[in-house]
Amino acid sequence: MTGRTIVITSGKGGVGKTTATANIGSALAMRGKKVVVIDTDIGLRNLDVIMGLENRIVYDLVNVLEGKCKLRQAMIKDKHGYELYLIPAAQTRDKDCIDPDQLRDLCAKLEDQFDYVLMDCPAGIEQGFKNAVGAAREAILVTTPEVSAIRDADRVIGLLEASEIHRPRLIINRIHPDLVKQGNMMDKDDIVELLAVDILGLVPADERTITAANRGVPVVHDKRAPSGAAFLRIAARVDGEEVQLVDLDERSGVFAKLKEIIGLDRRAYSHA
Amino acid sequence: MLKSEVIQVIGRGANVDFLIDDAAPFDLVTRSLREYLEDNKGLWSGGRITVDVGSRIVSQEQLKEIKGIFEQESGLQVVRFSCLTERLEPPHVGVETLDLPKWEPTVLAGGIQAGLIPTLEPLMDPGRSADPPNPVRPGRRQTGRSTRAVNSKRQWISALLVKATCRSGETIRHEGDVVVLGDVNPGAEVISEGDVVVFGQIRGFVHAGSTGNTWSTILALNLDSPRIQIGPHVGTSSEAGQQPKGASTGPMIAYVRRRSIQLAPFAGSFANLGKGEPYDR
Repeated sequence: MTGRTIVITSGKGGVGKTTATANIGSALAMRGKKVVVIDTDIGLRNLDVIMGLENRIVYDLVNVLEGKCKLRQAMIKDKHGYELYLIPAAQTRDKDCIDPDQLRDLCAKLEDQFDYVLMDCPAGIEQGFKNAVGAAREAILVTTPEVSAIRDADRVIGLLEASEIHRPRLIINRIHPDLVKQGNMMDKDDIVELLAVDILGLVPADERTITAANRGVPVVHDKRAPSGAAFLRIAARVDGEEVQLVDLDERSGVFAKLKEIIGLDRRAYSHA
Repeated sequence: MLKSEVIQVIGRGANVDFLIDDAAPFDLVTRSLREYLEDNKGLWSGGRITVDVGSRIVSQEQLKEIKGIFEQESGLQVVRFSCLTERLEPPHVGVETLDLPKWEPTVLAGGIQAGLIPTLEPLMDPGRSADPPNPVRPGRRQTGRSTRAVNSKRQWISALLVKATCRSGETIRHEGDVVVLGDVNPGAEVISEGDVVVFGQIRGFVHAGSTGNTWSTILALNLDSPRIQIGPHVGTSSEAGQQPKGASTGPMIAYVRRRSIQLAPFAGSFANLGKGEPYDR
């Protein structure tokens, strides 16, 4: 089996890298793939919490790389019964205790056994970023429609190109369709124009993402969550399936339609 | 010994060139350079040198390291890095010149100061120190009548064509003109001793005529930058980035007139660059 090693990165913190990793990993596993997710955020591990596997951790990534345990021992199986495994980060160490070569070797080993190796990259562009990016062959870039996140994403694209990862694909997370409609939030086209990369998916802002993360169940398992549906579509695209980009602006409900008809709908485009 | 294969030292008149093997790994280069300089410590006693990196791709950090080695291990001062210009294709944008002394009119008017000479070789000729107050490098577009005689000795500096978007955190430095086929994003820098032409949007920092040439211009299909610079003149715009969505400024040219930066649509007389002096002061 020759798997694909993909790093999920952003530059800026708090844009949803870990959430995206957990959800894309889960969604790929739900599609019947064998997936392993690696938390490379050593010292600030989170992925285990989001996936609800916190209290099953015995060994971690650093133990594996230092040869203190077998690879198999550090892999925690997801509780939903899919072929999804987590290699958690060490919490008591820091990013300097591993190097990109070690991680690359590990990923090469995992690629033989799995379809997808997803790496959750830490925020920033320091050693932790270099470790994760050095080991990956592809990259998924997560950003939110905020100027600061986009600036950092732009910087990260440059750094990815420098480490020979070309054409990263972009996920725009936490889009508020209403704000975009009012012209108060950058929309997809603005961001794509600036960053000049391919879009992998759009994820709407959704309270269910937060509650799901707090419960330790990735939101893709929530059938009614729009963000979960968005991550399922993203996973399908990662998997090579052609899925149309869904317009998040679509309003539903009789009331909204009615307001639109009688002109109460506030549509203030900035260029109008 | 190994080091002699990696580093070659060639004397050329008053200058000394350090030629570094293109294929050698960078850590080997730094190591053998250190050894070489240590072994020949007595040989160097203050002087200015040129480092030719050939077709090697070097980052600014690496250039800094080399410069540091030279200046720590010997009394030499690195004044210039050079490389094969025909190798300056897009992946080679990492080739940057370092710490070139800034051109200052006062220095030239008051006679030539030592530190400046190697980088501004064409200006070395003492007979030319009485040039007009704003001399430019020979080979650059000359508009003044008094400098026309220099054209016979013109020496073209290749332009750098960047076939990529300049992203935040990236710096492109070049001795000649720079053409970017893409955007210059916020946080990116393009620093050119000549003109800068951007077939895209400028939203980052662009500095044309970085050695003081105020005849340089900045051209872009959409100029929306909060800060640009031509020679010593800085132009700022508080309205940058406030452009309504989908709007474009259209092709714009920035040039210096009466010691400040002017912006104009690149049309009409400005488009006739070859005829006469469109940016006459």
